[in-house]
Amino acid sequence: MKRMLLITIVIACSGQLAGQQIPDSLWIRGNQAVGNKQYDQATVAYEQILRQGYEHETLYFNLGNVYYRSGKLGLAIWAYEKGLQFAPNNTDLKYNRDVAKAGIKDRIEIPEGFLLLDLYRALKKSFTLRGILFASSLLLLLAAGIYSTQKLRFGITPVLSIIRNSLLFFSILLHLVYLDKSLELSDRQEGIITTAVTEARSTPSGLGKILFRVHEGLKVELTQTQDDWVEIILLDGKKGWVYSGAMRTL
Amino acid sequence: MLDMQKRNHHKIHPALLILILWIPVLIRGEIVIKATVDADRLLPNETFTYRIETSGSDEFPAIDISPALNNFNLISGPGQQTNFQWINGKMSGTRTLTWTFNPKKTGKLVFPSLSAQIGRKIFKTQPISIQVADARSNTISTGSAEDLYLVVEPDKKQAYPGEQMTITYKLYTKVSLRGIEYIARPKTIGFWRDDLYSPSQPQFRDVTIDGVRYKVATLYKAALFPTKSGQIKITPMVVKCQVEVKSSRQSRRSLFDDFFADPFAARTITKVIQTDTVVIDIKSFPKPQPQNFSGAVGNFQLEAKIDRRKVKTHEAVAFKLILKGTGNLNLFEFPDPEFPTDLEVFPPTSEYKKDPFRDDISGTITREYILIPRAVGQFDLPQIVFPFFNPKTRKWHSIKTRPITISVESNRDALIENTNLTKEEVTLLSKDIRYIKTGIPRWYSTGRGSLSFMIIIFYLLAIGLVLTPGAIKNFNNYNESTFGIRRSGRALKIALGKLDQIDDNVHAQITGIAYHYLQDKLNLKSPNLAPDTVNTILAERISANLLDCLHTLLVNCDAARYAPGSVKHDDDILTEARSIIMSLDSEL
Repeated sequence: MKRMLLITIVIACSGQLAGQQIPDSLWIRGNQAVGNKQYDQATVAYEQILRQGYEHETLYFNLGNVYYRSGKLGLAIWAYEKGLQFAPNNTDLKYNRDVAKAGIKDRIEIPEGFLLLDLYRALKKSFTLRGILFASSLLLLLAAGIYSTQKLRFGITPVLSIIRNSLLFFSILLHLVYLDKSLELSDRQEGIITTAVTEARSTPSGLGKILFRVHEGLKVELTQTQDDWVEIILLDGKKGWVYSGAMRTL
Repeated sequence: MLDMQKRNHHKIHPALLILILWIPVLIRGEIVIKATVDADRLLPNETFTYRIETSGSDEFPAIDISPALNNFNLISGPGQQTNFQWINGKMSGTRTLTWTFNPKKTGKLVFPSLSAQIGRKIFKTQPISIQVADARSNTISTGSAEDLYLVVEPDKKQAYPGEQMTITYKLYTKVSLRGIEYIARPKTIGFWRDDLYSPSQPQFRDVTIDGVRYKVATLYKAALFPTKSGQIKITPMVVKCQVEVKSSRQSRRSLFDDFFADPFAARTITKVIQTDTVVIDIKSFPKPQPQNFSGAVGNFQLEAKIDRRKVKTHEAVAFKLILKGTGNLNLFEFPDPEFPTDLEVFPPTSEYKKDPFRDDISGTITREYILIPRAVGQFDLPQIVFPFFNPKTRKWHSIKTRPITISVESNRDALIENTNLTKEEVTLLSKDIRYIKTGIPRWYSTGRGSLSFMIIIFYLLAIGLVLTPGAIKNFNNYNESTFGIRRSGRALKIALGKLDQIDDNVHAQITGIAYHYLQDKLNLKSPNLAPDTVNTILAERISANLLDCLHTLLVNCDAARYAPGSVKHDDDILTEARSIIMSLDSEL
């Protein structure tokens, strides 16, 4: 019985180790392939890491680079955007994404919104869910710390109370932002067009009327899917059905 | 005198006057228009004269010859001629227009009916049929077709875009020529053309072909550089020659001819000869084509030169790029170097020197840049990479200049000196994505939530911190509330323990222990107890007997404190005290 348990533990541990080792070796192989300019091989290695269930902003950064070098602008932008989901303020990712975006065809004017709302959106965009939650929980902890020290030792001094209440206020605010962002993420999906040009049709089939054309690299919002077709909304509000193979969801 | 002159003036002969007045009437009879040709059987390269004779008109008809141009090339014309004749006292006038044509096709051709306009009347000529024999059939002989021919000789039938090919037009003749006139030069659309040889007077030399002596002259030679790929046609060259044909008609020699004409008098005929259309197949370049290929095809050498390597700021340096070689030298863009930004560059001067007397176009392109360094330091002048295609080896080549560094020293004479040399903004020269990162990342598993261990700890800590003060308060309250109970609970134990430890001054200690016990047990605040107060406190709580015993004990002990050595033995009183306290405890 004891022996059985030992074997199980060993197997579990080795599995854990192997699982950790494969993405690392794939990673190294991919990086070497980039050094030798074998971008196809690098792409295979990096995509394999993703398929194994591991991801990282750096992985998306390198993947974006190899896609860019092989001329697949759409997939490159997809990878950079994906990486920015993990590290919204990573300057390298942003820079490379902008370089890649310079090569895309479609320019869509974003309708101008209310200034404060835009500010809020930008703020929301520049933090991850985890980051927001981290900040709000930290603020809450600080507020709680002040509260308990007040109660136990110093008595209620007005300055400390103000600090405590504002900390609490911001913590609650951030929790609301977190809630908002997580709701948005859960019901809003985005994708990047990966084929050179694709037609958006009025119905989810090849027979629908062609409403507009979108080019590689464009970021679109997805609303619903039906069979192999996805309904997309452009930033300026145009809606149409696109073949799902022509895009990659973020 | 004056009178005489006047009279003479009037003395015009009346007959002459009548004649002059009648000339138009005499001439103007019925208008007749007649069209003729001088030959109706031709070889394709022969010409014929088309003639329209108008009689009975005092003006030339207006003729539209455009219908004839479908089948015939107009070589010259129209020529005008007017004749007056007196026949049997009758004057007739003819006006003749002549054109020279050359057939475009072989076979039976029809020279169409032309319309001639005289005044307001329109006349139609008769159509004339003309038989044009195939050159090979050679049925009609006005000198054999092989006596005179024009040949086009391209040096290759296939070429790459930008590769030089040479095309030569040669005239072969067995007969003597009086003159050559160009009708059409070849059109070389799709080529860039550089004339190599185009003499105004062709030079003939002797050549023997199949035992037959010919004279041959190069009429035209050009270097052609294809500018696109695919099949490109070069249109034929057409030449009109005046050929001397020995006259066989000796009979008409008149007396006068003996003096002025050659006994072997020759007559001249006009021949039009042309070459075939040449089709050149232009291949595409082999792949992959180098990125910065500017179209250079041939074989080249590139050199970079600088007139001095050490300069002071604001002094000019001449940087020369010399491209030498054979090929389409001025048909491509010269590579444009990117100079360091601290060098002011003036627009370059370019010079193209063609090597003379060579069939392969070759030469030197010299491009000179004037550079003026505006800052102190070492500057690397750009290396220029120049890719070209060599059609002989069918390979891509790339030549590179060697790197040149110039060192620039500060120029003290110059007043305008850039003072902040050490600090300057890094200028971005080109844009590319940033390179990959190679450090092994700490992988996230896909689909992980937003909660992390740290965040959970934060929340737990926060909850803990909020609850702590309340908890502490509650604990204190509880302690306070249960203090008396715990005190009275412990009272007996403490008292008995103390009793066991007594060794001297027994009586005094027993009272102290007893009072202390009572204070603990009853949660009494006041420390001052005396036997009487004990009585009043305990009166209602314990039996009278026990109270009595306690009272006696306390009184005895007090007495013993102040009168030692009396009353009772220590041990006895200790056991008594112990039993009294124990019974007190059970009763309270």
